[in-house]
Formats: sequence, C-alpha cells, structure tokens
Amino acid sequence: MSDLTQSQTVIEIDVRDAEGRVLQRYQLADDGDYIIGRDREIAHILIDDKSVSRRHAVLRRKGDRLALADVGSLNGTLIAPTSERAGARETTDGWQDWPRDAYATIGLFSLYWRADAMIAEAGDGDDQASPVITTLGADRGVEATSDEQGAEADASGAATDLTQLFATTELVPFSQLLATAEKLDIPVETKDYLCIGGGMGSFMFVDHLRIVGVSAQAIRVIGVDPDPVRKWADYCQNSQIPAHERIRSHSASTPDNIWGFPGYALRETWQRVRAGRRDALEPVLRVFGEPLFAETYTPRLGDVLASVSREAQRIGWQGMVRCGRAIALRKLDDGRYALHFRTPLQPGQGEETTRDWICIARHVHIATGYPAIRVLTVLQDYRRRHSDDPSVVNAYEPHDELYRMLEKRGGTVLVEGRGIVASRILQRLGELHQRNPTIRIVHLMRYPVTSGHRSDLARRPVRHHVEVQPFNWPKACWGGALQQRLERADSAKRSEWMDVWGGTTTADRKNWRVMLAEGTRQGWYQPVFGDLIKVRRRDGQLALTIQPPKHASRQTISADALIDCTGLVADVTTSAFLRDLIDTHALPRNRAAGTGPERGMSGLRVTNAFEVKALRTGSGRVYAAGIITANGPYAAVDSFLGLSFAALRAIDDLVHSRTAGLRRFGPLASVRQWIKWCRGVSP
Amino acid sequence: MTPTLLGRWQTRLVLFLVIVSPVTLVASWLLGKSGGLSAEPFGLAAAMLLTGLVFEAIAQQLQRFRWDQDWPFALFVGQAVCEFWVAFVAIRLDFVPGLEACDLARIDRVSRQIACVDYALPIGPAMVQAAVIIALSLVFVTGVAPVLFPRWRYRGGQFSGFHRRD
Repeated sequence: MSDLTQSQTVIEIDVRDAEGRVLQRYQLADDGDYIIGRDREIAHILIDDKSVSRRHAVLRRKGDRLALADVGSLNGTLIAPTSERAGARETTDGWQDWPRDAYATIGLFSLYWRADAMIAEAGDGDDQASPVITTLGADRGVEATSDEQGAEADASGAATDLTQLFATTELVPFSQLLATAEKLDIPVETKDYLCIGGGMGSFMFVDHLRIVGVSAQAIRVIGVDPDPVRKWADYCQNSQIPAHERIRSHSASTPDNIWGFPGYALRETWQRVRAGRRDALEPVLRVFGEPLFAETYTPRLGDVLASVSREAQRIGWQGMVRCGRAIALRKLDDGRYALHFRTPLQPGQGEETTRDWICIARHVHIATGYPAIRVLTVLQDYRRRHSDDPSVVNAYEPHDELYRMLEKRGGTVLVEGRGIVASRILQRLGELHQRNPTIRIVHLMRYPVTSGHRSDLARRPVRHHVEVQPFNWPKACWGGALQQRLERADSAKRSEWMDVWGGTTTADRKNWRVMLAEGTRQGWYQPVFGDLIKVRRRDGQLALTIQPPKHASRQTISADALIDCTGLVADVTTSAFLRDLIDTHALPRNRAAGTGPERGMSGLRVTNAFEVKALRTGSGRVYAAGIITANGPYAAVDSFLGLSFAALRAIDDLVHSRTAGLRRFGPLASVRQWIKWCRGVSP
Repeated sequence: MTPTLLGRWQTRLVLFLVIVSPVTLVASWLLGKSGGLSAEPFGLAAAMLLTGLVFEAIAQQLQRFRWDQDWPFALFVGQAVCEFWVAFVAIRLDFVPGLEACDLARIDRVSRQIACVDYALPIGPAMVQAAVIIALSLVFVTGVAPVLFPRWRYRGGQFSGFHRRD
C-alpha cells in the first residue's frame, strides 16, 4: 500500500466485472457500514447492472477488517471460498468475514481488496481504461476522484516482481521464477497436465486423460467454479430450459462417456423400463427413425447434468480442480509452462495467506469458453440510463422476475433474435400466453428469410423465417464428409463454408411450429424485421425504434418488456487472460467471415489436432478447445461431441509426439475402460 | 451416422469379417445335410457384399442431397434390405457371373462333401440369414464399434485415412 493510504488507513475496494477488469475503485476512509447496490439514491458502492439488486449487500469496515452481509439480494452475495475448504466459512448474524485475500461476488461482479487487484491489471494491457476512484468518507459523500493515485500505489510490493518477470521476456528462466516465487512467498506446484478453464472443455479433456491412464495427481484444473457444468447449466437455466426440458444435443453426444454408448436415448429407455412405462421404447425408436420418421431425439437437461456429476466423481474431479482465475501463461526456458493464477483465500488464516500461485506443467490445455454475454450497444445505453429496469433483459441472464411480472400484468414483449434460445424463450412466452391471454409477442429478426442456404446438393429448410437444422451445424461437421473437407481446406474456404453451415438456426420442433402458427393466426405472435436502433422509456412503456431492412422508414413499437436473445460473445480478446496470451506470444487467429458481430475476430489458430502451435516450446505442448478455437479446422467446437473430439484428437497427438509418455488408446484398453465406466469405478 | 465413401466401404468390410462371416457359417451349418456345410448362405453373403459395395457408392451420392449429409439408421437398414433383394434376385436369375464357381471352389476346400453346383437359394432361410445379419450389423454400428474403436464415429466410419496432419 502507498504512504497515502497507510497514513489515512484507507481500505481500497475494487469492483471488477466478469472478466476481471476493474470498473470502479472505492476508498473506504472510515469505519462504518457501506451499502452495495445499484440504486443511486442509497448505494455507496454503486454497481450499475441488472445482476445486482437495488440494495444488495452491506459492507462493514471495522478497523482493518471488513465484513459483508447480504440484505435480501436476488442473486446472493458470496465470499468466495477455496475448493479445499468449501463450506467451512463461519457466519454470525448474517455477517460474513471478508479477509483481505478473498473476493466477494455481487451479481456478475466481484469485489476485491485493492492489494489483491494488482496482478490482474498488469496482464490486461494498455487498452484498459483506468478505473474511476471514489473515496467514501465519514459522511459517505464522494470526496475525490482520481485516475492517477491508485496507479501510483501499486508501483511497489511483491506482485510487481512477478509481473515484471512475466512481462520482460518471452522465455522465463525457471531458476528466476523459483527465486521470485520464494521471495514473494508464492507457492509453486508442478503437474504433468494443466487445464485452464474448468468448464466442460476442461472436463472432457481431463475425462479422456484419466481414461487413457493419467492419474488424478498429475492433473491440475484451474476453474472459476468447482462444478465443471455450472457455467453451462446457468446459461441453460437462464434461457428458460428447466431440468425436465430437452436440450439441442444428440443422444450419442455424451459428455460423461467418451464412447457415446450407451447414449441418452438408451439410458432413458432403460429408466422407463424400470419404471414399467409402456412408452419405454420411444427414445430408442426415435433415434432409429430420426430425422426422417421421427423428430430428432434430444436428451433432458437434468439427465445430462446428473450424468456429468456422476462422471466427475468417478474420475476424481474435486481433487484436481482449484477455484481461481488464470492470470498469465508463460513459456519456461526448460520446455515447460508456468501459469500464474489467483485463488480466493481460505477464510480465517489471516492476512498472510497467499493468494497467488504458480503452476508449472509440460502440457497445457486451454478451454475458457465464451468470454461474455453479448449485450447489444443499444441495450447497454438503455441500461446505463435505466439501471433499475427489470423489463429489459438478455436471455442468458437471470430474468425469471420478468415472467412473473408478465403473467400477472400481461403486456407486449419484444423478443429479439432467431436462434435456439429465442425459440425456447418464445415457447416460455407461449406457455405464459395460455395463462394470461393479454400477453402479445413481437418477434424482431434482422431480415426475413424465405429460402435457406445451399450446400452441396442440399438446401436448409426454413420455418417461420428461421433456418432449421437439428443441431447448430449440419451433422456431418462432427465426423463426416463436411468435417473432412474443412480439415483439408485453407482458412478462406473454411470461413466461407462455416458461414453457410453455421449461422443462426433453430431446431425444427413440432410444438414450436404449432405454437407460432397458432399465435400468428390468433394475432398474439407477430414477426417484425429490422435492427433495433433505439430503446427509450415513454409513458411507462418501452418505445422501441426499429430500422427495417432496405432503407424502409423507421417504425416505433411500444412494448412492456424486451428480451434480447442474440447470444454470447465469442471474441477471445474479451478475456483478459487470453488477450495477454495473444499479445505476449503473438498468437495467430482464425479468419471469420459473415455479417455477424464476430466478423473479423475469431478463435485462436490451432492445428488439426487442436495444438496452439505458436506456443510450442521444447517438449511442451499447449492445446485449446471450445469456442476459443472458432473458425478453425473444426466447426462444431462449441458442442459436447466437438469437445470430446478435440480431447481425443489432442491426446492422440500427444501420444504421437512421444513427449508425454502416453500409450495409444487401443481397442483392448477402450473396452476395459468402458467396462469400468459401466461399473462406475475409477479409471 | 455421417459416413464418407471410404468409411462406408471400410465399415462394410469389417462387418463382413465380424458379423456376416460367422452368421453365414452358422447358417451354412444349420442348412447343411448330414453334418456338412451348405453352399447357399455363402453365395448370398458374397452377392450381398458385392451389391453392398456398389450400393454404398450410390447411397453416398444420395446423401449429398441431405442437408446434414448424414445417413440415418432407418436408411442404413432400408439400404441393407434393398441390397438383400437385389442380391437375391441376381442369384436366382443367375446374373452374378463367376459367383458360383469361385464360391464353390472355396467351399470345396472347407468341406469335400459339397459339390452343389445348382443354386437353389430358398427364400425362407435366405431372409432369415439376411435379417440376422442386418440386425447384428445395426447392433455393431450403434454399440460395439464405438466402444471398440472410440475414434470410428468421428471419422465417417473410416478405420484409417480420415485425418490429415498439418
């Protein structure tokens, strides 16, 4: 801490967004209670976002200690515990002790003690704006704002050394790293395999590793949540897929089982047989007849989640994962890699407890997933002006409140977007319409679609102005002729084809077709075409200005709510960790075509075996998987089957490179492991 | 399934080895008189293999009309049924040149008792044999192959030559 803060005993709190960027900095000058929330009138620590309640939590400063109390927020307040001691935290009277090195979660944001904040910033690069600093005094008034003070304050201290070590050279000398770590008291652990991300991509790679014979002790996973399926499950639940509903995934796309057998359809049939149901054979018959004689079988969300939890337990996931954020990855001079990561503190160990870690590994896997939820600029503007408005939401955010309001009061909802999430939101609204017939749906799509894309000799069908295909890519992209073509093509051809095969599509489900046809006939569903260019609030309603395609004149629609279903951001530079990696190692990226928001900014370039070749050093290898490899040699990277493919491909590549001492996973080993899976015993 | 042409052919040959051959042997043994082997099931199996290799090429072209470029299980079975009838009729009408000679020559070595040159091929046993082959093939491609060969389903049914290193 600087002299300034010490002499005034100011505690500084950073407000960080989901990507770790510091948005605001608050200096707490005095003891007392500070309200955290998004209501400008009452909040001292203001977080202007829908994920934060108006009066979310109270922060209490007493001397050098901080404590937090949730005050009935919608999304809760959490002092993040570490994986080892999860649940060991003690609370009294609703107050949670907030040690210096733990962070607090407020909606989608995190609050850090200032000292904890330094390292992440160093990795964020130059283009990050300095945070606004607000000093809260005894009267809780704003005393001063400054951009420079805070930046000066972290010029000294332990973290800077590590930052310097990581910033000055591309190959970090191993001995120097050890010396620095010892000096700064940063623990260093060495593993054979290091997986960064901790979500489904990491999980499926680790699952394959364990099954081909790597022990759990040789693997370290760094993830934001100890549960590999958490982030994906949250997206599903927010976009209105309850556990009993079906997801857009194939029966044989089994994240818990590397063979795809038994698939979810066979398992569901077995469940039904045991329950003595007469329709027990329906799931497997559907797989047999799909998509010609039956609608494509899709598994239930709840079944998928349960199966992943089971497999996580079987392979010992809990012992491998450590909750934390990856800060920076560097090549070492001995042909390995060093990851600097930061974990929340174990409570009750005092101020000395270390929160920075180094993990050294020869083989690294990166699967950090979608960096962010995409919020359209026009909606960002609106939210900035009307932070308390629960009627304007993104489909991937929690927004159950909106449906409760609609069911009670009725009204017009504008749904924007035409993908699978839009379909699911429309279904939810259609169900609400049954209960409250005054609900009307205006469906905004950018342009009308009457005939689908062509590829080879086929044309993609269109239903209600949306192109439909069972999954988000044509099936042959997962392991057929289209995948083979893609793997052998150059980057220009790849982006051209993927633009045709992918795009925004939905599934052709009969209940959706019937609902939209009925809604159109009865007048409560209406498609509208154009771009949303302005959102205002007028006479207690939303006034939405829409620019139709082809320079037609603008129109304004009144609505009571707006649900934006335009998706998630796949731009890798949105993640501070990836941006640092790309900048430091000059990583090449894939071209992206198309007209969507991801145009020109796509995934990391990987080989056909998913290696990030630009990061190769000595016998060390870095592989990537998931959406961060978008527009590369494989189209369906953001799917369970795609992640499974990427994992197997990367491991086969490791076997081939002879750097990992892995044996090829042949038929005998495969059958042996499959039997172990069936028995539910550890691989 | 989303097979490539090479995948179709390779899978077909593997199916011939692990499903068709044993089933045919059993059928031949069951139909054989006085403990010997019957030639007809082998004739049918060989004719179905030849028809199948041609049908796979046709099916692969038809598959291009499908947006997903896939070959659903229903079509897999439908295709096999068509192959059976074509093979059956071809044998009955003696349209498969050289089949009897080469087939019987092989069987003669296995069992000296068979010298059957006249190809009767009764429909009942032929249908049972084909049905068992088709059913077991379906079990193989849906359950057995993925467990034995975890990469097979990602390679359009190919056992080798699908991927290219870069």
